[in-house]
Amino acid sequence: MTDPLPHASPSWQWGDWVLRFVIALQGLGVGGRYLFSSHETESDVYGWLYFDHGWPEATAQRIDDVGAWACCLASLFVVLGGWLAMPRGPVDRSQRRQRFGRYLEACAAITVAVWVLALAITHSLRGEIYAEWSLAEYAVRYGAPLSLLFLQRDGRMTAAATMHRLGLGLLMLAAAVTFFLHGYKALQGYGPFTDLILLTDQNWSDFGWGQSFAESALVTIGIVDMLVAILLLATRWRWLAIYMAFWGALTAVSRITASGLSAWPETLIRAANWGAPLAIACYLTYRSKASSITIASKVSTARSSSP
Amino acid sequence: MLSNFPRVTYLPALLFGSLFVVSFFIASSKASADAPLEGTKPAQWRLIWTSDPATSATVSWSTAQRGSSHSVRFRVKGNSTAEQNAEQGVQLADSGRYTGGDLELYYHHARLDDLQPGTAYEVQMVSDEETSPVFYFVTAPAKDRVFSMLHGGDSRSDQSARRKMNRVIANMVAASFANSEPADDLIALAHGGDYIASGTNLAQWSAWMSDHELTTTDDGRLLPIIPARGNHDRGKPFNEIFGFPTDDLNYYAIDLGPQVRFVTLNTETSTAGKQAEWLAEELQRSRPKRRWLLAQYHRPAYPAVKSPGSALRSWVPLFEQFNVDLVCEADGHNIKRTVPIRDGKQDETGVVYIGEGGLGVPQRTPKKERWFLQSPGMTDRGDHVFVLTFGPQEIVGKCVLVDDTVRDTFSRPVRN
Repeated sequence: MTDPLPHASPSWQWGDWVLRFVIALQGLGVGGRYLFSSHETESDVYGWLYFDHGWPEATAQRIDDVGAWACCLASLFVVLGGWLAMPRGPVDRSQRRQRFGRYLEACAAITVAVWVLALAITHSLRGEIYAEWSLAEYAVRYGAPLSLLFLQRDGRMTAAATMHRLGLGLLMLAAAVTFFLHGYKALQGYGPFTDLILLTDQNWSDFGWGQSFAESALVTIGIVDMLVAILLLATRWRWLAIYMAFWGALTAVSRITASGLSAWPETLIRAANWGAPLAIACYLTYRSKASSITIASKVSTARSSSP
Repeated sequence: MLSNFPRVTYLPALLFGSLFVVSFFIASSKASADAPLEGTKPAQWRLIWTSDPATSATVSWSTAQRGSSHSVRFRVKGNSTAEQNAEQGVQLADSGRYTGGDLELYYHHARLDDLQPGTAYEVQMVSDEETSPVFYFVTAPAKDRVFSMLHGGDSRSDQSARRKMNRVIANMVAASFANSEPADDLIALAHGGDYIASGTNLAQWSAWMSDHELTTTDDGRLLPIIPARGNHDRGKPFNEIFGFPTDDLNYYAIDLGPQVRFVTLNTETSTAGKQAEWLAEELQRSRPKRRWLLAQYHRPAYPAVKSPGSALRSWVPLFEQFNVDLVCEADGHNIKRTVPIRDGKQDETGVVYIGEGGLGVPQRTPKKERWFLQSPGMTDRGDHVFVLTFGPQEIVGKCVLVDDTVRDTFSRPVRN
């Protein structure tokens, strides 16, 4: 008995669409930060090429802009591709469109993944505090688009099922690694995290939280983050993923609550921090239902074949 | 696994992949010419001001070997009679091994206290049997007088430019004391951070410390440095190099004369918590007593190329509340002077932000369209250092380029 077709399941489709929107938002966030926000700046790719390797500034700038624009375009194409790939109408007529949609989506996802990975690698090489952990810290940002490549596959059932398992595994690993790293930084009392709490309070709630309170809170937050990350991988319990989605959204939005609306690219660029766990929750819901159906089906088969 | 994908899907990955592979091969370690460090011969000398500079200073140096006894001999400059020689002091140094890699190097910090204000002191570093040349430095004045100081930042990625800028600085310092005009006397260099590219790499720090020797004038005058921590200066070596206690958070304020309060802040730790509380208290206490109130830190609140740091939310309201006269920033690798800013708008009563760093780093093209850089503000690029002259009625600032030309001149009036 094989699993039911994933793409026919609403929860699986929700997962795919969450991932697509996450990639799109993240691409727009990259565009905002490096191209068109009022505080647009250059990325670490530019810095690495220009400062560390002596490339001409114009070349480094051009490469930087191309990467950011590619992410912006990819954010459109990943949604368009997903829409085209949706099955509808007579099978024969829609097959070509669906295939094109998947190719488009895959290209867009690869583009975002590669550029975000480039940002992570170059950041890790540039000597700032915790920079050596950038590949792990940004894991969910490039892990989400990479996992979509696997999760949107269909075709022969067994091959697709393998791809789906790989994709979900990759997505969970990426989300857990990012969560764990953020937990570690919180546990270490990372200054900017303290400021997110204090400035948010200062701007909004005015409880008068002091640094000692914020640092104590960060210790708790850090321990919880690290535990949740480990437990997600160990148990695959979807409520953990839902908690991660909630907390990821809160921390992404805290960039705006602390620094004002002009920090919107910082919130968008962290879309995967909440979006990936949300997608995981959708996929785990599907797997849970599929598992129930499979068990029920096996029980039914066993009953009917019994004398 | 991806064999079903058409070639077009691979194309972006191949393009980007090639870019990184090529770049990694092109990458090569930067050549650095450390000053000779042999045995316990003192080298990498520097004079640091992090507490009252009228009466104290930290004399620091490095040795290649641990040694057993390290001290500084000091006396008032010009004392040469036997009786005066008897007044020579000896201060033992705190010593230890720098952290940061395989390089074996030892730091020594001799903290001189109870000095006389506005007085030249001769110093000689002694490590076991080895001695440094005799240098001298001058403590900050106790009386209200006109003087100047330097501000710069970012000396991390272009050693050749860094050495050139250090020579320019030494020449400027020598020239400032070669005349009888006190106004141009350069009494200190405030460094806004990012001394090197990787703060945990001792080899890079060693090169910086050796290069810093070049700021010493030909007649042996040590230029006091007032250090701020930059985003690249992470890790333990920073505190070891500048003689801070191990876990010090690197924010402090010193008097450069009785009317100039100079506050150094740290953008690389929490800006909004205890540091902001300390800043508020410091500014509240200092403002009524000082004619000039300045602050320096690394990551800009009003950047010419980057996005604003948390200083914008944490400290700028305090700067405006207590009418800070001038704020020195770094990090951006360009030249900038903002319009006076209050409440996020141009306002003559506001605060002017200068700097962005050019003591030895490739320069970025600034984003000239940002509102706070419009005339009468300015922005440009080029290796540079700012000269700030504190008069009774105004601060006059000059941005001096590496070729000794003046790129920008401005003044800030005294606040009534």
